[in-house]
Amino acid sequence: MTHAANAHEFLRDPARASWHDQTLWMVRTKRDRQAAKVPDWEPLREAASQIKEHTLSRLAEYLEEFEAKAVANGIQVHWASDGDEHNRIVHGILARHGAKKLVKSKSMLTEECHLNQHLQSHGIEVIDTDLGERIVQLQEMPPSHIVMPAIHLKRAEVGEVFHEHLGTPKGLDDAQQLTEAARQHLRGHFLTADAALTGVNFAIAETGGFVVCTNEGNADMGAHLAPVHIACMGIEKIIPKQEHLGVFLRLLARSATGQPSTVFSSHFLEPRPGQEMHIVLVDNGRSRQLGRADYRKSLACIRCAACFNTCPVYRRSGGYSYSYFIAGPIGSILAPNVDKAAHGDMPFASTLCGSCSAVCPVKIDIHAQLLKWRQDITAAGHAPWWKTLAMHGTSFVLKRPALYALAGRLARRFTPLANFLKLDPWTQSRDLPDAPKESFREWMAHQKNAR
Amino acid sequence: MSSRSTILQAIRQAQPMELPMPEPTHLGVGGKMEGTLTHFIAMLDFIGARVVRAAKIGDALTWLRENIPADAKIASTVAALPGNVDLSAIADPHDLEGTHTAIFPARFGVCENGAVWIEETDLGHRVLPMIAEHLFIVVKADQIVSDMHAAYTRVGKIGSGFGLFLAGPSKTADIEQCLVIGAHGARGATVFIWGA
Repeated sequence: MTHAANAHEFLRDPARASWHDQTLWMVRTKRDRQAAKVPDWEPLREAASQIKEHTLSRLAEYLEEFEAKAVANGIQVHWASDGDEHNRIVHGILARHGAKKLVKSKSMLTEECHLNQHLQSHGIEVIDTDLGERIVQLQEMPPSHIVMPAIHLKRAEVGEVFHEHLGTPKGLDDAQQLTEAARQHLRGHFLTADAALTGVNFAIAETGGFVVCTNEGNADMGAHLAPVHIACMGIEKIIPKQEHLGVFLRLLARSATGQPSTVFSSHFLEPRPGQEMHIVLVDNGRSRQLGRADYRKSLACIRCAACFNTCPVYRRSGGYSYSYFIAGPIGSILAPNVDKAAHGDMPFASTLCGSCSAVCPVKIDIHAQLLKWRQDITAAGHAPWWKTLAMHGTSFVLKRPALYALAGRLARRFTPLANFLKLDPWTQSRDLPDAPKESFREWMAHQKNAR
Repeated sequence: MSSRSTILQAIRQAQPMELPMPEPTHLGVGGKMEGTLTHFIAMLDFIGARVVRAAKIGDALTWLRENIPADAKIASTVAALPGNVDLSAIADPHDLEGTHTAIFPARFGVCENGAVWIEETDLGHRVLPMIAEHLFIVVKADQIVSDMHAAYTRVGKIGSGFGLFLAGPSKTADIEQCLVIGAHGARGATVFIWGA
């Protein structure tokens, strides 16, 4: 199904769609308030952008430096070309330890690689421990938002999920009590897990360490208790120096949720005594994107989702309307790199208003890349036939002045009919204005004759 | 060829000509946030931490006596404020489950976001600030920096395997954006600021 068709379904419940829109807009306004309190906000964005661009221009060298330092710190480093290899590596580590239960904190990379399904097929129990992720995992659904995975659900719906899976009283819809139930349930899993898996927000070439940011403390609870800690990261998560964290940590939480900082910004440098620590570096198409000059900057993304929260299309269509696991504006420029045909309609799910680029903490030119992808996707023949036909038809008419004049006359004549038939989506909720009696060229001719 | 060489080779072919590493301070970054104790305390309040001020570190004893049940399990790494759990005798961090309050020092606080910096050596066990139900964090009043750039200058080379910026009690808003304090980590964080 296309984004447009999915969005149509989403909008069948206008009250809910409006609630979704307003909830995300509230997060956007929280972001604005926090950004406004930082006098050097714009220089910070510029610095973040330049650090990322510099890093991408020396990515191979920084990855090698990171690996050498991490190994010296006692961390085992693995390289995976694609999702399958990543999954095999993670499963291999778990199998060596005979691990039966894995607690996971948020990692979009493992969503990308479909790790959970892979491990479950090998009989390993995977527990997502971020509250929002746990909710959608219990529903057997993917996250609808990369920072707030269950943002599309109402309290009562979470209550139903917990009633079914955690045995909370039927009809419970108090956020405090529901969170407490999840805390108790997940605490049990933290205490009995055989291994922990976390994502990585930033990996520092200079130190060989990495930083994981959460508000709930779930990444730390998993990693500091389990005998094995596996951290999975895309190769673009590297930054050169520890001092650069100052730039990125100031931007990340403010952009994501409108907080001055996440509660936990944990710096992992070495395994704790007796623990085994692994890092899996994953390419999975990133080196290909790096080679595409027009889209390279998309690799600077720090996954704050500010572009989701501000996007008028995302807010009014929901994460499940997009065909890729990362929805919203950033997802729409990442997905076509993976599969142009399968996700070809995503760059069209945008008004090109540019709000995404305006809030992006690392200054990715998201809306410009959306437009560029539209051109590439159309040139590759992945645009729908009716859109191609319409474009060819328009081109045919515009090249022929006489035909253009005739088309104009017909269009002026039949405007009321278009409003009546509502063939075009545009006219479904609004009317075209009355057409003028004559064209500009006819009007010019009259003026000349009158003179 | 190993995946490592395949990936590195693909990157080398794809990466553009080297772009300069920026100097954030030259771009106007840093040194623009307020750095006073008053602002730090206001920020702690904003992020849901409780603040207790005192002249001497020993003044915390009274507060702890009045606010923590007598039979509670208290794990402390601050010599002046002893707990009742022998941390050195705990080999398995799982044994810290059931800790009512964790008392530990922070090296300094950050004014712009209310975070405090803690290293592994200050904790005994890394999991201590997450597994305990309540935190009592001890920081000296003159150990405040303005922003995160000053913070990292202060951190320098991290001398142990784990370091943490901790900003208030754990929280979540994953259910309908309702803020709930006490997700997986502590349900409450008290920052005890002592000295002039």
